Amino acid sequence: MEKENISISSELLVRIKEQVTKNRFDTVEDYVEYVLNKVLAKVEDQVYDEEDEKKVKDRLRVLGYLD
Amino acid sequence: MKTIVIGVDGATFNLLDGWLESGELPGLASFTKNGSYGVLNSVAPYVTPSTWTAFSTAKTAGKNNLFDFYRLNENYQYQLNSSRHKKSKEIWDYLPGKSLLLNVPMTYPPKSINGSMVTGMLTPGTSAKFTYPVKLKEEILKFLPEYKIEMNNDMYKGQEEKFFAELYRMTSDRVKLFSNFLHKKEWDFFYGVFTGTDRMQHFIWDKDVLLDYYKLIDSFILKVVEEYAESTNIFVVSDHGFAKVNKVFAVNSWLQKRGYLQQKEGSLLTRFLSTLNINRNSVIKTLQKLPIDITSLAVKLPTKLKMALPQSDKSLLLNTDWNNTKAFMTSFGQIYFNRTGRFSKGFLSKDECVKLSKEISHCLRKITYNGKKVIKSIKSNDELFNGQYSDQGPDMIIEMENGFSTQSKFSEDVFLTTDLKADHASEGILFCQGPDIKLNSYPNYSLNLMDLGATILHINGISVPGLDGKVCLDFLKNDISTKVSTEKEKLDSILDTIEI
Repeated sequence: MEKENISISSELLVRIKEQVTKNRFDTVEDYVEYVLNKVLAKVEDQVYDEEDEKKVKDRLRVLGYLD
Repeated sequence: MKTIVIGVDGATFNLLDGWLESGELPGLASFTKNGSYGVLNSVAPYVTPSTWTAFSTAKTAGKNNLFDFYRLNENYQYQLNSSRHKKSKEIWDYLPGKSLLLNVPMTYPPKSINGSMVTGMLTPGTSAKFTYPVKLKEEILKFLPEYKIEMNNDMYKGQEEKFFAELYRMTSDRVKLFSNFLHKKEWDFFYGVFTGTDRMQHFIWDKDVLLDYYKLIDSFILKVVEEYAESTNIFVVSDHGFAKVNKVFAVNSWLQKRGYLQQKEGSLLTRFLSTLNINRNSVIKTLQKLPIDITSLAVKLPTKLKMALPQSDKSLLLNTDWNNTKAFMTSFGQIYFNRTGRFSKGFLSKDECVKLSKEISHCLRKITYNGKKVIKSIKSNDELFNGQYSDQGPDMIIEMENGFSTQSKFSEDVFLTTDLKADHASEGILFCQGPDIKLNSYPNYSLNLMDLGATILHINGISVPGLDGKVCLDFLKNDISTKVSTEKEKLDSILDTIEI
């Protein structure tokens, strides 16, 4: 996977490093990726747009999983 | 120690027993000689999202929140579930090493994991972001341009041969992907699921036809065993069993006849149109034959007339009078009570629900068809789920005797013939072999999907407090010391509850 560099404050880095050890992550990068991915998943768009939802529901209907 | 889990949706000893004896499936047969195998019980409700998630979280839906493909909201509407609705960590979230998850149902949208993921059932299609990392999608479509996650069965109605050809093609691609990634990607925990078995078994219950398809999957299992069994613990598992179906029990029609459910009556005009077999679909079909613009006509028609047209389909959600309904079934025997606090038009108190549960259970147990018992078991929410999301689940689940299935759609008769050839059953399969697995030591007590999840964590040295699954030590060779996983759990619970 391609990686990019970003800068964060030294103070924040110290706090992150404490969490990395405490939470059994290998590296600061792993921890930041994990936490940010979880947080972003909450603010990103809805899971299915209208068309996708229809597609998925239709498929479930055909399989008899949704009446 | 590395772990491989191969999921075969709906695989059952009802089919496998004979094939194992006659040597048709050398991959699975190797487990009977070099490992342990036996019945693995499913976890109710026996439906893909709930079963595979019970395995991966080692918890009931009361804790992981995945009861079905959808959530039933307070307004009696189905809202699709997804990976984001799971409220518990899964095996790969605890493991320190890299995980490779392929075609696992209910993993869409893909979450970030320590490893890679290609999502499974309920992914809209390969045009969606169906991989983690995102760029993995390009790699897959370059390698397998026709890669498909799920077939649209509707396209193959009445074209059995085309259906088989496409299913085989899709599964061959899946085997290629699994094999390629096993070699190419870094992993400590590999988990790939085949779902085509379930799709076929619902509509074809012919051992000869099914055997060919099982052979395709078994050839992959054999290669995995030959290459990895000495160094890796391998598990082949199904999320539920399967059994032949002769009759369908229309649960909501039965509830209606017993007075627990009321269908919408509609106006005098609606009832009159119904008797003439005029409904929304028939009107649209007739209008489509005429040289007129239906959309502009629809706008001009009086609302009262449009509303009076009876619904063409007999689905539960469109046809139920919620103000006068006490109980209703959604799918796979899941019966909900119209409780206050749970549903917008709910009117039953907790005490009333307890009474209703006893009353309905009593009536259901008495039902027979041609002198035979129809209901195998009835379990209440309290017996099945324990956790903060239990309240969102069904109030009771009925399990049918072999030969019977359920449907939620309304019908004139309570027992119907069906196009469905077979349906989900409680007894699934488990085959295991590898460095930590004892020979012929499958426990003689009941083992379920959640127990397997907890056992896989244990084999990997992880002990997690609060799981519903119990570690099965019987088929393990070695004493394995485990570390309690708590800190990451704490981090997750914080991340899950923050409001942004």
